[in-house]
Amino acid sequence: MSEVIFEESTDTLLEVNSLKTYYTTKTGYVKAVDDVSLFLDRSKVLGVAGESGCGKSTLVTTIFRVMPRNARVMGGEVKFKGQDLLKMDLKTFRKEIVWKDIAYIPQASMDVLDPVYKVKDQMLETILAHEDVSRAEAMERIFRTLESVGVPQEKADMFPHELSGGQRQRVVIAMALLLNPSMIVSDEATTALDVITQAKILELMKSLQESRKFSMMFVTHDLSLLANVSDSIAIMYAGKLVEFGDVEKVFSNPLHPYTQLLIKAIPDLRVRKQKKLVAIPGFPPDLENPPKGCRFAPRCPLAMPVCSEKEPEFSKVEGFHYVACHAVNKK
Amino acid sequence: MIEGKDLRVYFKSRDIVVKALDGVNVSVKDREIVGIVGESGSGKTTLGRTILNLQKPLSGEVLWNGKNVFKLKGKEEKEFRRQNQIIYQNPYEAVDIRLKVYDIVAEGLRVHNIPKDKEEESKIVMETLRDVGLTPEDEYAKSLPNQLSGGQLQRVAIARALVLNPSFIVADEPVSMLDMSIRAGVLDIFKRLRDERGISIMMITHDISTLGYVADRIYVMYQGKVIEHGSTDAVLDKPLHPYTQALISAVPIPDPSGRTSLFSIKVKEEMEPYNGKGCRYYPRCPFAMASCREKEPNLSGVSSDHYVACFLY
Amino acid sequence: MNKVIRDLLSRKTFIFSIVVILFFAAIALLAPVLTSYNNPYQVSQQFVAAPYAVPAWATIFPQYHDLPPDVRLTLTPVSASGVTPVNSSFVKITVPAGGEVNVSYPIRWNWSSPYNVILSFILVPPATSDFNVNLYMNNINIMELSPVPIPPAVSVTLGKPNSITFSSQTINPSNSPYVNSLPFQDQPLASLEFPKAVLPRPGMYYLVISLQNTGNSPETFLLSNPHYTSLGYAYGRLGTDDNGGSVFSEFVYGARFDLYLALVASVLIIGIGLIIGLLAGYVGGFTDLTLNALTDFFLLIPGLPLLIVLISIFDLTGVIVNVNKAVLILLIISFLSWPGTAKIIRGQTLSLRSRTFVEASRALGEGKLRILFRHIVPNLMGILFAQLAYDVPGVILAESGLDFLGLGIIGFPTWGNMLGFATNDLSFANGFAWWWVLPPGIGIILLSTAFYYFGTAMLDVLSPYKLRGE
Ligand SMILES: Nc1ncnc2c1ncn2[C@@H]1O[C@H](COP(=O)(O)OP(=O)(O)OP(=O)(O)O)[C@@H](O)[C@H]1O
Ligand SMILES: Nc1ncnc2c1ncn2[C@@H]1O[C@H](COP(=O)(O)OP(=O)(O)OP(=O)(O)O)[C@@H](O)[C@H]1O
Ligand code: SF4
Ligand code: SF4
Ligand SMILES: [Mg+2]
Ligand SMILES: [Mg+2]
Repeated sequence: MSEVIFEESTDTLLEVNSLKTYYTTKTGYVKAVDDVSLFLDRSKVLGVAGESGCGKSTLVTTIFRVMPRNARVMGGEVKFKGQDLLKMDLKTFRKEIVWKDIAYIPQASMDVLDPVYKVKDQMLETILAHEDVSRAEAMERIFRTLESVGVPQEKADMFPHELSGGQRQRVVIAMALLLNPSMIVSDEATTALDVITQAKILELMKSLQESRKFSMMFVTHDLSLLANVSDSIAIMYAGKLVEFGDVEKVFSNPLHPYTQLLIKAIPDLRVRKQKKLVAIPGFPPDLENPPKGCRFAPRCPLAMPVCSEKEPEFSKVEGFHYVACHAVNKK
Repeated sequence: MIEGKDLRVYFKSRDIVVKALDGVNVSVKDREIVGIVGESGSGKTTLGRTILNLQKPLSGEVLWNGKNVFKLKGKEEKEFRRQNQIIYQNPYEAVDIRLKVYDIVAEGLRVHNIPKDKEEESKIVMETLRDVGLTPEDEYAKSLPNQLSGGQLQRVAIARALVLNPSFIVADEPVSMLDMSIRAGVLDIFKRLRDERGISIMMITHDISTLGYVADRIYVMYQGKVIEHGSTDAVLDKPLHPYTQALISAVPIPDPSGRTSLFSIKVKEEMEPYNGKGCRYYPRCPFAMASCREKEPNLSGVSSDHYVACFLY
Repeated sequence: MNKVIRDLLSRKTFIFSIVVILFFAAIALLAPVLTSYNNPYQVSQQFVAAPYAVPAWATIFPQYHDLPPDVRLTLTPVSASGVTPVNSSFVKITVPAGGEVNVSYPIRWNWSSPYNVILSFILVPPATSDFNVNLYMNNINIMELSPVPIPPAVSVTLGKPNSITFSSQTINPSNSPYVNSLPFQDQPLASLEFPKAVLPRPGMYYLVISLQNTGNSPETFLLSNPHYTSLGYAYGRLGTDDNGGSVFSEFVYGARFDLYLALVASVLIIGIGLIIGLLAGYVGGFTDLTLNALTDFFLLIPGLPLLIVLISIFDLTGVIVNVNKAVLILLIISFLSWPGTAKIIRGQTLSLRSRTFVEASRALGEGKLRILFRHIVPNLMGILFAQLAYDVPGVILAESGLDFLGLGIIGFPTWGNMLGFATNDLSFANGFAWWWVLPPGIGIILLSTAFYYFGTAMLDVLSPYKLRGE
């Protein structure tokens, strides 16, 4: 039923179809990603947003196949260039796709760098593991890439702890760019940074994306960032996709009550005097026993009786703008 | 009501001296929310801890209703502790996570022998939990910290500070751990405290946009110094210091039509190290002049409620 | 509290450790009830069965199935003419002049040969000296009793009750015609051969007491029903060691000692280690410096070698005479075990002291002592138990090692010296005395693992900083 969204795709690179990833726990399943479908076109940026714990990282780790050990894919497919990544042999996937085709900037990625190796050695290893090039060639590429992310060449000789947080983040971005992937997945790449550094890194990523024409999946809980970098936007709530569409459409006309509240909750300096910050009452549901029907129903100001009975369908509103809400779909 | 004068705190780690606070003056008046903003490592937390006598400064004094807090003894010190509370940056670190929420909140009451008996204690604790929006309160009272989300635990930390009925609270990044959707609720609590109970609050954050909604005055810190301060309106609408301007322009605006704004911040890549005598911001300042390298600017008033330390003014 | 217990009980490793520890504790406590031998290393408590007797239940295995147990019988005679019962335990035998009466006692023997054979009875011979008494088993003349003691005959007093004991272990050419009948070179082995000669295999055997009257008038003899005893090759719950001492008793009393050791070590580790670590970490400054130096000093002492040297010195100089060696070893080993704990507790205290939540308590106005007991000590409990988990097995192993080498306790059983003695004698004909080696070996392993699991389970449950996920 949610396949309808793929009609909007013009030049598909990634297609996530009814993906379900659950975590097994002692007491049952945490349904962290439950029937999520979305797509990403070539040289576009897809923003994924939602509250902490709604399953963003789970979605990303499933695509990159680095889920925690207790995670299970319970269904669905992840098609990349027409190939189902989840069905691929893990070894081939690691060798052929990872870094070369899809690069991943994990959450808390500053800790990804191994503290005992110099920056350049870690980067060298990444190149040599995937490509058959000479060391000199590889080094040349490392210096070029570091420069392109604004890290001075001499830092390549340093250990990660000798770099500032912002520099480390740039090094990780440079690692992601090394093999010229066609897609970069960034999970909260800037969350730990102060606003100025964050702005500079976003600017950098955006300009690299525009010049190198790779696609990017940009995961964050900060919606206002997405307004600035992404072309399409996917809002997740409690393991479900609740709204998906063109970034302008979603921001100018948010349809799902959750998206509406989320946008109202962003502090906006321009309008601070007129606007009161809105809090969404209550807390995200327990993903082991999610509420019946619409998962947002317990917190939703527009909730109707049908909401806690039937799950709303994901359907088109107009153009590239989809939403799963009874209140909207009725119209 | 509480005032820090010329505070200096230096940390020595091996051979490097970090000047976490380098001659900072702040004051918080009655019924006022004062925002302290600055990048990571600029000394905000250290300022809050020093104001509450949790960190001894190298020099300078903190006056609490005219008394130097570093010299308080016995009863007076205890009363100071009761009336002045702190909410820490990371609630997971700030509570003894072995204890139940009830005991965490009741701890202060017990230390100060406030309730006459168990019943009264429980009444106060439950009321406070309700005040910070942790309802049903008896459910929460029984939980352990690791069963709560960051937002809920942050409210517990707030409740712990409130239960003693303080007159001044240092709130160190009280919302940075929280999702946007929960943030507003917690900020509301602070506003209500100021308006209903007349509590003064020093709110520390690196996110200037939230201050716009709650603070009465804002201090901007950069590397251990206050470089600009004034009323919220003055600072946000007419930022003077190049750093403050960059800070404000770097706040992402939730509107895809204004896309370019985020990427127009004016900060130089730091090309040379600070020379030890000039303005601390000159290595990154796009407006740096020759004089900026020679002397440090002092805070000077551009209007009655707006001060800046920059040679441009 | 309830939650902690529930949490603990949900862990298999914890259940395992508790079961093991309780099991050994029960054994140790009930030792006097479980066995009547409190120290089988004493000569008086040895030879409760043949040396290297297998456990009684091991006879279910085919290679052991016909090994005899300890057997104790009171033999009763087959009725025959001239043999009249006096009461339940005596018979009167009238032997005509120049005649002979054989009193036969049947023995139903279901096993292979026993380790030894002991017969005892009371004989009241006539007052005249014209008689001769011969004992036969399996038609072998094993003993001769006569008023005229010409070896191999044994003398008896006339007309009086004589308490006669025949023991296969004390036979020699001068007291048993059996030995005399053997070729000279086999005579020294007579004691070993005897049981095989008289009770070679399962079957019906007879002890025959033959009374001869060489006088001219009928004479009467009084004879008590003989007691038959023999030590078997299958004994008790865990068989016997090389001295026929009960391995079960050794195991039980060994458990008692090893548990005691674990207990004392735990108390010292917790007591000294915790207090010194806490003081050093929390008070800091000069106290820290001093205590830390002291801890380092003890930590750097190479424990086991020092112990060996010390004990040899004590042994040689005879200091031990006044001090119980076991107590000494126990104290030294336990005493060398606390510094690790002190170090770790100190480190943890230092780190806890600078934790934000401790500062938060200070901000609330809590005093130093209150912070110590309310926040620091409880947060150390997990670590403390972890220390028990690592150090108590260490203590047990160290002491066992010492005993194993024969440098430690030898006066009474410990699991360590049991293993030592057992493996010493591995070359002996009996080969691998598994019933002797395995119990102490398994005991040491089980108790060590139990402590380890106990400690780690407590660490998991008590330590408040848990990791997410599995
Ligand atoms: N290894 C795990 N075992 C069990 N549950 C898990 C595990 N990892 C994550 N979860 C749960 O799955 C849900 C989704 O987690 P996920 O990390 O994907 O969230 P997120 O959207 O990335 O949040 P954040 O913004 O905090 O990073 C959460 O409720 C989380 O508690
Ligand atoms: N206990 C300490 N020992 C040594 N250095 C310290 C200590 N506390 C703070 N510092 C240093 O002092 C400087 C100011 O730290 P502070 O924690 O006050 O910064 P902050 O503004 O609160 O930053 P953040 O936004 O990251 O919390 C930093 O460089 C920090 O490394
Ligand atoms: S389906 Fe109902 S409960 Fe869910 S978001 Fe829409 S209106 Fe709210
Ligand atoms: S004093 Fe000079 S360097 Fe410093 S902020 Fe002002 S203009 Fe920039
Ligand atoms: Mg995440
Ligand atoms: Mg801080």
